[in-house]
Amino acid sequence: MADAGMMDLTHDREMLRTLYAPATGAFSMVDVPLLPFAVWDGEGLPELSSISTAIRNLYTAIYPIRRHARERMGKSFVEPPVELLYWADDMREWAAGHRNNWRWRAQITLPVWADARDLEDSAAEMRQELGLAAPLRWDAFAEGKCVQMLHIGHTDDVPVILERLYREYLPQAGLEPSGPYHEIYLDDWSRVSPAKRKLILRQPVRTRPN
Amino acid sequence: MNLTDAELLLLGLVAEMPRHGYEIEHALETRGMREWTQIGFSSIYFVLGKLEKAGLVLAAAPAGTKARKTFSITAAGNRVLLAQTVAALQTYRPTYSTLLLGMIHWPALSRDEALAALDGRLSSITAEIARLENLRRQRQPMPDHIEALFDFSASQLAAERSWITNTLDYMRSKPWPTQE
Repeated sequence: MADAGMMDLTHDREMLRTLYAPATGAFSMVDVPLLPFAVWDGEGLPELSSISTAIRNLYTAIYPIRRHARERMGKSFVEPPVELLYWADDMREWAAGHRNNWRWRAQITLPVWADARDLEDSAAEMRQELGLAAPLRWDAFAEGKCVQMLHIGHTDDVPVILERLYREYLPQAGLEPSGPYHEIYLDDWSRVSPAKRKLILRQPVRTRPN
Repeated sequence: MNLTDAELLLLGLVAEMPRHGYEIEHALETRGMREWTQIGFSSIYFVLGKLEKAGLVLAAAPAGTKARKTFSITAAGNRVLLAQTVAALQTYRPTYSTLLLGMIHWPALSRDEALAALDGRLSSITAEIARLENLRRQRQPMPDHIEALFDFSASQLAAERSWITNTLDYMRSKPWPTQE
């Protein structure tokens, strides 16, 4: 069994909606609880090709867990979306948009009963499909206090929203970023037109010291 | 309006986002859509042309001489897509398996031939179950409605496999009068 104290989103539908279906058009606050994830680490320029390979591999690695979850949980199983976190060791690099020095990771929430051992077994079962050694790991963490918003539309609009978040919303609320910037992709980009894509923008925050 | 399977398939792809012929071919290929309907690369433009003529898709004039024509869905196309998708989901359309003919003519075969043939079908069904599961593993990630589609095929095959094993058990244990 995985650690206790982890939020089981299949039992807390209200939290599931809060985390993965926030309001669009306005920032809202959320307290993200302890959740288990399958994590795929990446670094360097986050190019579409390297990230889509990571996403594909991540989904491939957890396929046996998802198949098992569907059988075991029936209609309370919810297909989890892929999430990407971006940061730089020196956050000024992030702010300046020097993407070469960014680090990122792709992650997908796991059912609470799937622990590190299950993830290892799952990836081992998919070894043939995965190929190379995988930078895959199990991790559970609580993002804590975050500001988030649902964005529907072109990703070209995201920098403008982030500008508003970092330059206006957070300072006015007496907050500052405290952790990797986080995007949650609710659509498969090969199936949904750029104008209709749904994306959650999330930023962990803390109270700004005076 | 009644669309053919190929027309409905392409209309749906163009509805997702505007695409040109090559992108449509890519989607058909990577999503394994040829599992569901027969449509060759050469017939993509033919089918799109028919949809265009019916006012369901719009072909954007290429910017340069070498640019590819991009197809997008029209309002009429969207209405047809909705209606046809609902009809496809809600209306059962029987598909006739060759198995029916094989069973009808069962007495034409000797006992051993008939049993061996049905046993052969069991292997072929088992191989198909394995092939689909393999496809599914290789095609991750898939959205949940596509996972459900694979569940549908898998459960149909499983039902047929169980029917075959039951039938084989029965036919094998049944006393078979031999003509000497």
